[in-house]
Amino acid sequence: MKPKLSRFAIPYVIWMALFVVAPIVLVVVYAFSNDLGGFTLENFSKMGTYAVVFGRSFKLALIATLICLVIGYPVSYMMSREGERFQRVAMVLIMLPMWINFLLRTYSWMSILENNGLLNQVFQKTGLLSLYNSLFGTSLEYFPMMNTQGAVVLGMVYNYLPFMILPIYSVIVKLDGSLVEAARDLGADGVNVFRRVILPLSLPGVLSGITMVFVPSVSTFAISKMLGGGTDLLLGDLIEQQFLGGAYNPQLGAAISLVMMVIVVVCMVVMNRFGEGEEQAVIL
Amino acid sequence: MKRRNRLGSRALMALVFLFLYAPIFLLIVFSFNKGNSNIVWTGFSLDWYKSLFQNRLIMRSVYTTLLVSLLATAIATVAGTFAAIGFYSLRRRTRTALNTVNSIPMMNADIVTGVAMCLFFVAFFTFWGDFSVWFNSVQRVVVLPERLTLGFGTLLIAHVTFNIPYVILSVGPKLRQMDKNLVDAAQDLGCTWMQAFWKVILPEIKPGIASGALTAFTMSVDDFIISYFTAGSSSSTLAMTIYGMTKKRVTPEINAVSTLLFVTVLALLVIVNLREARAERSGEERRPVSRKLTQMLDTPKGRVFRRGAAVVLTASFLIAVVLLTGATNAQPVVNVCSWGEYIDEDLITQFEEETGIAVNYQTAESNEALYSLLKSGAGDYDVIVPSDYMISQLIEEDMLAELDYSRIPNYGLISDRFKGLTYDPQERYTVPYAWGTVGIIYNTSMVEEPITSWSALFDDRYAGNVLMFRNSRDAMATALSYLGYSLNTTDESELREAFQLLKDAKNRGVYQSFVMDEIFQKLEGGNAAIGVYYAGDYLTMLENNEDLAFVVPEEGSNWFMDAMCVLKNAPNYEEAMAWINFIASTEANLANMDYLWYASPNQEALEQYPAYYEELYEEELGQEAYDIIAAPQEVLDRCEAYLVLPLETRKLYNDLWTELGI
Repeated sequence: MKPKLSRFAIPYVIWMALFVVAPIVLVVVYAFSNDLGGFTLENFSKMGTYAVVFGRSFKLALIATLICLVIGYPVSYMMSREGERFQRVAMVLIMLPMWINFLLRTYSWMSILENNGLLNQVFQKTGLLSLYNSLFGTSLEYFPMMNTQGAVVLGMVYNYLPFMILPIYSVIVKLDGSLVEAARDLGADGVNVFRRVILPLSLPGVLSGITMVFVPSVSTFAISKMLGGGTDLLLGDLIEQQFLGGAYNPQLGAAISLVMMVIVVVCMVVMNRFGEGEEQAVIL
Repeated sequence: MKRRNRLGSRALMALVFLFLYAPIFLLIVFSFNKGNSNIVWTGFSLDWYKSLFQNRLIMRSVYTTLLVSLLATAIATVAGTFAAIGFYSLRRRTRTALNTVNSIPMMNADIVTGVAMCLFFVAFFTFWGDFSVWFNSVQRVVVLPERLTLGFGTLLIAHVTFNIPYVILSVGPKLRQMDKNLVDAAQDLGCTWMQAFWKVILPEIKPGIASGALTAFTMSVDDFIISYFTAGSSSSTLAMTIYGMTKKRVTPEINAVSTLLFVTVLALLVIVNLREARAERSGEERRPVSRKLTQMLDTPKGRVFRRGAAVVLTASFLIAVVLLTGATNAQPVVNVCSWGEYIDEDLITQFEEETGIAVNYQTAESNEALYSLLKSGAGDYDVIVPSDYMISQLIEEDMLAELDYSRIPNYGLISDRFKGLTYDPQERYTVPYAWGTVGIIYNTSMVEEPITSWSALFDDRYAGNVLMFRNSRDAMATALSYLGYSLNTTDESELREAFQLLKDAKNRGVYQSFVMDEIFQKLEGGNAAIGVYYAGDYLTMLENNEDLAFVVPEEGSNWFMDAMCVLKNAPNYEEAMAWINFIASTEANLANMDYLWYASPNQEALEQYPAYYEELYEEELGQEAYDIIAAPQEVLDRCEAYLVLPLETRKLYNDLWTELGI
């Protein structure tokens, strides 16, 4: 008798039920209960107040994702056209920063961007600051860069750019070269080859890159706290605050998590409609 | 033409790499800095590398990180590979469904995964508690532990859970590329499924397994958010330690440990890549070691060896797990949660040497955050050091245990004026730790005139230069005090007026940021002009920036007492008593007072401190400095202690506080 390989899946299915599905069910239960455990919709009726936070988080995450895409796509494309050796080195160089904890890399940005930080000191020493002041008639002592939304977006782009480059690159590099040749033989020029062959074929990579940048960006709390100064809350901050922060209310936190989760899932489903076959979404 | 193109593309890539590596380069450079700044270079030294190996907190968290990452990667790689094979041989529809569930941890925001698991674990522990009590009562043979807590075990489960999907994701495609008939053929030829797996499937999917394991390990090492919600208080990964530090000052020791990790990984990757490149060049001539090993394992002798190896591996893994869980019980331990840099760390070493009790020292950001930690079950401590009003609230909610004062003889040394305060009138739950006042700290070179009033915190002249508290009670208190209301008001209109004052100031851009311990580096570095914080911390900042000044505003302020308490059902009650008694001693109080510059409640320490200071630093402690540490009566007269607020007001605070952030 042929033994069934499919029974290999059983332990993991149980594991998933326990540690993936059950916790999420619990979040849903919490979202619909009050602090005494009774059923309530109160947590959701409050959600309108937080629309601003939702808006801000999605806006910043979207900007960061776009920037990552605009930088990441050309870089992935150019990388794939280099020699094999170059590609290997470049891949290593892109993965390597992940080995220094992202909090530390973000902290390093703090010392660069502070009012008295490295960048401002450079501006002062090189006279760029006084040049700016005389040009625009201002009397700045420094360029305020820390604690702005710009700094938060920078932090997101910095931390998640590799997540955009890696999937796009891994799809482009596997493209069948003969397709490009065929297109050229059939008379397509460089622009057309890119637009009609390479771009559509690299779409799965782009889509998974977008997801991998957007989701962590929209839910971050460390980056916004460190670079944004905590004056403008993001969704992640709001959720963290309800669980381990200064305003204990896990039911509300669960409700916000749930709403965020639903919005993200809907976005992703809609997006994946554009690029079927996303199963190929590869990270490495 | 083509050449120029390449030049342009290389320039762009160089720019991207510069962007990625500039902050890292900076980190590495400053790990060799003599001073402890991340901005000012004061000379080359290896001191931080030396002190790194003596820093128990960092070394322990590096150990935890590596251990949890390695274990999680090993488990996830094995489990993920089997699961992928299982998925692969399922019917298409079932497979798609399972794949969707499998991708949840990857696609879900980390914070949701973390929060969900935290809720799940805590719910399970509650259930387990009830179950084990019942189970232990009906039979005597097996005694189940009644109290489970978040810790290394939950951390490991969480890491395994988010690692497996990455393994499946990289093994899956390799399986699909494999010729399906191979397995059938092998089985038709008489292979058992185990043999089919070892001989046919494994060699085909090996590259997928390797890249899956590498991804999993990288994700584990880099993870912060999920660990933050599932590690509890007893274990802390490097990322969590760093997060705790970014609030105050990241010591360059962290730069040093990161540099070491970075260089190790770089070296490993270079070696692996060089080997691969060489292997490619020389074609199939030189087989990789792994190939040789598999060949060797295929001989009959090897098969026995292989089975033996599997047994040894499993056994050693089990032993490791048992040791790990057992190690925590071997030595008596006390879990302490206090505030950041709120103890002279030599005291911890001294206590450990004197008593043989290990101290697991954790910090919380504020009273409110501590309360959240306790409530959510993420914090599992014996001794906590909350402030007055939070103590009342914890007593009210029956969360504190009564102290056994007969084991704390040093309680007698506490000054009578700090005994039986409103939060613990019958002296049953607390031993005072330190007290102080809240005031404005400002940079004299950045303001036009000396500051005397809270109005500075709402003044447009200082727009973008003011640091406000990031905790509701203290932030609201500044506004209430400015408006002339009681800090303990329950009047909703007064509270809303104070909130509006803060909200308007925030909207006008007065506040540069909301901070807790981040205030140290911001004020010391001259990055902000005005901040509001605790008196003792001002003196710490003064050491690093002489332009700073401190004032308790004329309208009045808050004076606070932080006291040690023990949580109900604390697992280490005896050890907790020993710790409290040790900290209450005059010597410990003097050391702490010198380190924190918060006033001691110990009468002897309070009196002896100026002499202690003179002996230690060979200079006199000015009266002015002493008065900042231990505010004189006329300052205390205009200050008010926080009282616990009724539940309704607390809810209003929570709502207002969340609204302020919006």
